[in-house]
Amino acid sequence: MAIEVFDKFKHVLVVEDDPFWRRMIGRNIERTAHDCKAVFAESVDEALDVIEADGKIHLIIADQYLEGERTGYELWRNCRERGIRTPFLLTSGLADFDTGQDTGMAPRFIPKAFVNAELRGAMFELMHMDSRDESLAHLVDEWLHEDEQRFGLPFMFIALSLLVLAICLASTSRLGGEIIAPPPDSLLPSTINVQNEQPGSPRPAALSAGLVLQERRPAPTWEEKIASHVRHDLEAKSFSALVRSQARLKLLQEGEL
Amino acid sequence: VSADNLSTLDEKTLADLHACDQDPNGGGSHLVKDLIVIFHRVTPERLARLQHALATADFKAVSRVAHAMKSSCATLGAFRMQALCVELEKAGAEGDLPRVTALMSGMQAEYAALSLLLQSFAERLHEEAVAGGE
Repeated sequence: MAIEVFDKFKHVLVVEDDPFWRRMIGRNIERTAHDCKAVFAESVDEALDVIEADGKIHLIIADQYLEGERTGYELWRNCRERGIRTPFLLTSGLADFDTGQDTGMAPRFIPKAFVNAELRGAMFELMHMDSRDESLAHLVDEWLHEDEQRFGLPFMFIALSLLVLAICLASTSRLGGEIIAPPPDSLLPSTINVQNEQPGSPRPAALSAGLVLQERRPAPTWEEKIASHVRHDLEAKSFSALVRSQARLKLLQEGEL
Repeated sequence: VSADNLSTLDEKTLADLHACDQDPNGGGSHLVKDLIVIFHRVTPERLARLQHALATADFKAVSRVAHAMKSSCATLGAFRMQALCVELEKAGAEGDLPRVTALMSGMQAEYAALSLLLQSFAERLHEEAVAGGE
């Protein structure tokens, strides 16, 4: 079944010189959303031509090793330098090549021998970014360009503090509930269960204030999203993502989210 | 894992891939059949490129072509061929001529066996589709 959230994304640029993987990825795109259209390029230069000619590219999926000397990673950098912030998914048969992961200046990556669910999951995650995520990503990129080196080891301590803060924020909004994590390959959003709330127990302040709590909600709150992001970022040791989470928390505290 | 201990074709991998591509709303899946057709089209060409690279002692090209082949082999369940590609990529990167030569010979024989099994699997898929009225 097509996932509705993908419907606003029309064109997915697949940069791949291997016909086997063009067919494989193209098929996954067809299966992901009925009105997603795959556009193909075989090299970095061809991809840049497509991007400039077609202003409606919503996701780029690029192989790292392409015909010629230029790589998928160079395409990502080239896009960034041109101010193109289209979500980007890098693939390769090598899982350990250096794309600058150590500096956090790297696109999302999945190894080439992915199964369909992995590719569709990664597409879902990238396409699910909304405009606020994109503006935050832009803000973070500017910070990183200004001074990539100003954060060091102390940043990990800041991140841990943010994690604690985010968990506190999430717990205050859960009204004594319990977050049920989705299965690893599930595309469903997290749900919240309030079964822990005992009859006769004091009603939380949010309920007293007139807020309506449904037993199961289809989407997590921003606080829960942030807590989830920070946990994920810590596990992934992604520098730029950690900075992004910091930005999210900062804006949340300032009431801009 | 040594290539000797792996199967030429793991049909379960192909069957799983085929099952993943089934349309829940009905209709058939041509993905696996298409991938097999593409594999048969590009692999002989790549083996020829490998032979040329070996003849000209272009080890970088040997590594690059072997690298390009291995992920599609894994996707189709051709695990022995994939293991040979991995070893060939490594041997090419190390410039190990005797090893590259031996592996190339093994790959030619392996592809001949694999090709027959893939063809047989594709024919069975076709028969099932015809029987299912697709």
